[in-house]
Amino acid sequence: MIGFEVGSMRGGRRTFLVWLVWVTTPCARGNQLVTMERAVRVSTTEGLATAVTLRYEFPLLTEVYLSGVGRLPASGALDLLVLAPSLVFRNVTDGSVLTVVDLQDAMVTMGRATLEIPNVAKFPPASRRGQRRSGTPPMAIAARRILEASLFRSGVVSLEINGLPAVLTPYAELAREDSRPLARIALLLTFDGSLPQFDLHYLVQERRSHTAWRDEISSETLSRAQAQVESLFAALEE
Amino acid sequence: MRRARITSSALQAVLAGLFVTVLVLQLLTVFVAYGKGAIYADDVPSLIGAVLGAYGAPMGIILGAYFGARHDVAREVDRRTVAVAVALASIWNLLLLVRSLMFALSAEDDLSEYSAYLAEVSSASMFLVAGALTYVFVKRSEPSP
Repeated sequence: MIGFEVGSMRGGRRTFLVWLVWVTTPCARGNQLVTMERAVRVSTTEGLATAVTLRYEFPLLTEVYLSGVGRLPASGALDLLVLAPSLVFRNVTDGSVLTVVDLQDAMVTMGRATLEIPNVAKFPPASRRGQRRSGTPPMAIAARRILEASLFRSGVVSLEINGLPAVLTPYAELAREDSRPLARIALLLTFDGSLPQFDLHYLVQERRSHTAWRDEISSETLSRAQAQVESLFAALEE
Repeated sequence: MRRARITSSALQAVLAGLFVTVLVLQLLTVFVAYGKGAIYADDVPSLIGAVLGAYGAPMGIILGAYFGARHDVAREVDRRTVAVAVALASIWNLLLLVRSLMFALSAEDDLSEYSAYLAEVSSASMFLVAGALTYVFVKRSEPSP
């Protein structure tokens, strides 16, 4: 059992400790199609979710369909915040179930951390439109790139918007400088089907130490957020 | 032994001074919070309103008595009554002042919780001062025979 601090709200007043349990799921033990490396139950504003890190490999297939995520290469690794009780891998061609990863039995956690997941409808129109140079399906890679940015270590939520895959992050606080207001940012990446194209939307809020979060932000906060987005955008296009 | 007494006008001055002084201190804490960047400029009016709202009832009694009965003849009040009135008024004011100082000086706080505290505690503890203020400021001297 490993414990570490995953975040704080309102500065030092509420610092949350989450205990993590590394597990191997029955699915992983039963076959080697999916290997669960990490499953952590976390509290979010959308309810309990599971932060999962998994590797998967489906021999003889080129693509698979993962529930809530969409089409993926037939082998790879994923880091996701999953709101559903299970992950279902399906055959792309006939929709048959390849394997089901039950997340309910695999998780044992304690803690009070609450990740605030923004409402998708609150995001402004696309801030940046990018295209992956490699041309590979961007979904899984985008999730990994976002997680590699230390700001979004708490995970990403995969979802479908109007039938198209998307990746959503919980709010993450930007580094604070002295007396500057606190600021936080959330990202939404939407993908255009099988094209290597993606749209990056971001939502920024700020607050002072004694106030609630508000959407009206200062130009200084905006530039801090834009700098963060730009560095991530470059990584997403690689 | 005859208990020492002071006049009601002196007690009125003490209580009025206490309430006005603490009210001013409370208002200052709002500006201190703004000055240190803990709240936004547009939060200041609502917080001042919350402080003034908390003091609305007692200050209404005090100012009403001041303007409505300034020509009353002062009566004598015994020291125990004075002590109890001042103590209760101090407790009521401290309940609010301590929270205001915490708001102004703490590194993290919540504006809405602070406003709610002022409204709830000031009204819930009004029984502490309502009787004393009414007795000291509203009760008039017995007419001379």
